Amino acid sequence: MNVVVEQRPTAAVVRITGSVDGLTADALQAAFREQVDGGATRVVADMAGVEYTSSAGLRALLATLKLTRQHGGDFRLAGVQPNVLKVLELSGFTSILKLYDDVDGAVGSFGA
Amino acid sequence: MSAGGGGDEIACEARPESLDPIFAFLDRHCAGVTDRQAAFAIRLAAEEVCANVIAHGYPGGEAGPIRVRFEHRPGALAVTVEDRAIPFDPADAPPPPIEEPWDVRPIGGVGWYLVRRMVDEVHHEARPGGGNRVTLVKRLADQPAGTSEIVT
Repeated sequence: MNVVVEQRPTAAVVRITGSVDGLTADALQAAFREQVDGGATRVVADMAGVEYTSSAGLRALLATLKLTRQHGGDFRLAGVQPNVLKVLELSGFTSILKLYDDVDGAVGSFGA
Repeated sequence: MSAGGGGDEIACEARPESLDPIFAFLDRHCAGVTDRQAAFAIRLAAEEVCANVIAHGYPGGEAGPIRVRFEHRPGALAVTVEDRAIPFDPADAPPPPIEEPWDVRPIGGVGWYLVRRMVDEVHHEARPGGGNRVTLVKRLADQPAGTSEIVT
């Protein structure tokens, strides 16, 4: 798994590529937390390059959702791929997280 | 690692550092599967089972064994996970908190639920002498049971 962060005016975009599993989920959660600790409470995860997630990845997503909202922000997903979307749907995450087709849509949803 | 019985297997201590070789083992077998959805499903279910054994199976501090077998059966993929851990029947797993609002939803608790939803069969046996054997079966959409692959 690889993570690249891009700071946009309205949100931090965390672009993830690779698998999010029991080996990589902690590093992903740390990358999200780093953004919030740095003051970016509006965070977008670009999931277009993620073909796999297990429940370990879901824990990282839920922890980040809670963290951002507790700080007055939000955590939104972009470009979720079909297999990952199925896991999110089965786990009830699509009813507590906002999903967008692409990063621009997710970033734009935060407004100016 | 040894082959036999129509499959391939890896055996190691049930410690967090063993996730790396176990996942590499699973990835190697899933890589050659044409039905990518089935490969995704069995990889995910196998990860959940192994992660549970490693995280919860040996609570006394002394890690015991975990053995993972991958089989390409006719028309299906099968993964068997054996341990000498505390008895745990997946049927006893608590219901997943999938309808809880975000602010009260606990982090975690969906592993076994995902296992059941992702694969077609989940079998649990208590092993003679102690431990568990969990077998996961995922049917292949592109190769129904009882048929042979036709190469043209």
